[in-house]
Amino acid sequence: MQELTTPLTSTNTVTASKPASAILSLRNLSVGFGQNGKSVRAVEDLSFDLAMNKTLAIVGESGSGKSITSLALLGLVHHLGGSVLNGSALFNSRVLGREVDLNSLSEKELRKIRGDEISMIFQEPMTSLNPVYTIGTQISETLMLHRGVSAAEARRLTKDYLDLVRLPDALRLLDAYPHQLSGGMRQRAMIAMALSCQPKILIADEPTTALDVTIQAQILHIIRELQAELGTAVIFISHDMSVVSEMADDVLVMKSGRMVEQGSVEKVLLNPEQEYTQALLAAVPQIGSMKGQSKPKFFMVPGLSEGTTNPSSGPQADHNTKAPLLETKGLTKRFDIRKGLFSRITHRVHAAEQVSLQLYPGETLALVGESGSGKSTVGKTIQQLIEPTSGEVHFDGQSIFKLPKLARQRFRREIQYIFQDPYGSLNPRLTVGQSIMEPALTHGIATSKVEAENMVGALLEKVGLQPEHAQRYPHEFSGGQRQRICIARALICDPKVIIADESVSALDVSVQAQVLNLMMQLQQERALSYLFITHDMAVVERVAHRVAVMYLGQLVEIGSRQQVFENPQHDYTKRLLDAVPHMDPSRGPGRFKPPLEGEIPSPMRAVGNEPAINKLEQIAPGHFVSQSDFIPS
Amino acid sequence: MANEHSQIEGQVKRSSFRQFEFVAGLMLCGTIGMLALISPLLFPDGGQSVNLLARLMPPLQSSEYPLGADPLGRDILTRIIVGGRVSFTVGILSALGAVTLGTVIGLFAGYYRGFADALLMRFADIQLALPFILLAITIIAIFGPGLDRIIILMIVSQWVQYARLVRGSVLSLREREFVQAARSYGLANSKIIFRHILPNALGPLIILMTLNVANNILLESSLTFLGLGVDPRVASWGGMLAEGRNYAQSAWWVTVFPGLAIMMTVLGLNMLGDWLRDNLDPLGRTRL
Repeated sequence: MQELTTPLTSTNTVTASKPASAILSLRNLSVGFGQNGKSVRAVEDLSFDLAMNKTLAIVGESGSGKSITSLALLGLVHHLGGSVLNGSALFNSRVLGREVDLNSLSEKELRKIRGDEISMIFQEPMTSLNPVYTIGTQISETLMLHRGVSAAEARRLTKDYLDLVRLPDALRLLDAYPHQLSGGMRQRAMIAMALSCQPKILIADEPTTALDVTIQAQILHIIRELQAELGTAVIFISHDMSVVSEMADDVLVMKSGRMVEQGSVEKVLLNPEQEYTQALLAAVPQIGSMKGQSKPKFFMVPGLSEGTTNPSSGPQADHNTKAPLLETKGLTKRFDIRKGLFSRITHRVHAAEQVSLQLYPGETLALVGESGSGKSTVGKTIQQLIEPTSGEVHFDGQSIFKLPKLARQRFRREIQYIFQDPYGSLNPRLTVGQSIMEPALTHGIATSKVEAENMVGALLEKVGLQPEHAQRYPHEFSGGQRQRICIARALICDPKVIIADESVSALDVSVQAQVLNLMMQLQQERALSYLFITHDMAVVERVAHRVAVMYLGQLVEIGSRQQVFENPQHDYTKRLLDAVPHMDPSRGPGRFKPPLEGEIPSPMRAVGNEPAINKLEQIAPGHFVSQSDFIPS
Repeated sequence: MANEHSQIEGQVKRSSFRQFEFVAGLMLCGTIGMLALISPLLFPDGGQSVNLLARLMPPLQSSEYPLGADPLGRDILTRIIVGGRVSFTVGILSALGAVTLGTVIGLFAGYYRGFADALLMRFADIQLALPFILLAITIIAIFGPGLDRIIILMIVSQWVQYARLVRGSVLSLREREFVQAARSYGLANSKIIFRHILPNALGPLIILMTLNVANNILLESSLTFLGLGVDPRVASWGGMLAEGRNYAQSAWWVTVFPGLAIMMTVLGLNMLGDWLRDNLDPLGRTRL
């Protein structure tokens, strides 16, 4: 491990030499895109060694070149229009029987190595399995190709590997199609496929980013266990420092294609040398860091807007004094599933069942839960994007859905919605200015074009952009800037409530911290109320005044942030908090604890099979907990 | 990674080829269209004067017949210019009519879904199942032949393609977050449809339309050939192709020149269509 703790400088000689303990040795790798690879340098002069049985984490924000590096190792960059300009990747190949430079191998030789000695797991388990073949066929294919075994033998081995990744009922799954499996199960099947030829190196490119936290914990656990069993070296690519902290032996931090810092996980995460690493780590919300504080807190990030004088005090909420601004009473939404010849309703998705919550002026209420918990359904119903099946939504004492359609329009002004995907929520054919002013023109807040343009300019400045940006199109902005634009659009109607639906989930950590700071600052200035819908417990701990936890369409716990985080009562809340990865490498190799098994059950139920309604009981002032038992399926 | 990729895409955009495409397309279509437009002034006889002495005269033999003469001794160049009137009118008006009707139906069916959608799409299926020639014979038999009836016939038979195409785009666009966002701040449905959905569904529409213009020019000739089209004496490119068919081996010029005229028009329209599509898209993407 000596060679990993001493970072290799870029001035190293190009003549490649591979330390004996290293299984893979990368030297001075450069990858370019565009004509002759000259337009964009995606990776510049990168070197590292990967040791047997160790995990090297490559971390960085989007565009840092971390994924391109892994694709370059497999000789796959030219599929994306890039080319390896320089560098060597020495690897002891068992198949070819010699030490080879992966960058100078022929396509035919590379094909022998890919999937056999070096294999890869991708981010999206939904799209990396072919939907028209069964799981068994897809895994057997790899085995038959690389091991030359018979179909029957391959099938037997496949079953063994599915058992290995702890998939229950492996025999049945052999003949299942990808859509019949949940996301977590699909990712396990992907891991089984990647491991089926017992590779020396496993490249995992953001393998858990698309998964829920409890499932993420399970997948990470499996990767760790299998690594120990099979002695595979893992290159773990991630943007999530907490996940890296739980997984890695060594960490390599990248920025804009270049290596920033490299070293053991303890060294890089606990005593980072480079400013960039320090800033990156400061932006990561760490669960447990807010113990004993009742108010939300700003992030300490460079590039904080000038207006904030006291960065450590967050926005304040004064509840108890006022009536709730927004209140749902027994909100229920069921989606009908029709099947058969006469489109009869056979099943219903119970997306939200008897949800009653209150949002007070000036506070942030976080609505948390995993996929299928119904948290977005609640938000969209309040925004009138969905009609509720039953129940009421009160705003300022008025019941929205009891009013005639025309009178409801007012609430689309008072309540604004910010979506998850900053790339998808702006019309690519409209300029940013046109997009921002549209709500104002719709509600007659701006009567003339000039007035609207002035408002847009002022708002763009407010969210940290320039008024001239109004003329540009969305694709000219980065993800974080786009989300600022969406915030500006939400603010133009001067709303009282903003529903933020996973609004920062798609952003890089440092950008996420800045956008959250902006939101908290705006809350302070305008006494905004936020309904903050998210799955990220660490972010919630930082920004929320109160927290509501949803599970299978029902509230299971609601209370102040301190009550829920420091004294969680419901089993599901506890499980959710346990599953959040902690950024604490000092806990050592024994820092992992096996996660709870089990999938998140589906909220779909047969007609007539109604779920039992949870009764919430008050256990402390403002802290309500469901008394139902939590049974993981 | 996706970021880097789109950056590169952006850098390669709007190459000089696009500019060339626009100029070339405009020149081709402009010249042919202008000539067709002013042809009654240039050739008051409408290219109908017969000279049996010049029958099937090859091109470049006489200054009077630069592109040769047809089996009745009519000047081919004159007839191509005059014939452009019919072909252009039929090709472009029918495509424009069909695209308008189909787009409106597709937009509303796709956006509102439900019963109206189901009804309109079943109607479209019936329309697709009807053979074109059968429809043509029926309509012409009832209303008699004529240019306007041919155009209406083509609109009736082709709106379905556009409606299907647009409906498909709308179904995916209406779930996009910018449409959801527009709904969330209370924009009226009609504005969402025309401001947010239609511009994003235009690309494939323009391509289909330029392809259909060419198709319709040829379709007009088939109808004329079957006696269901315009008066056979009136010059049209399709009609000329049909007439020259019997002489294709002995007198190639009778068919090749009108064929070239159709090809040039289609090429020009495709270039203009490509240019238009890329310019309507602020990303300026060059798609295949």
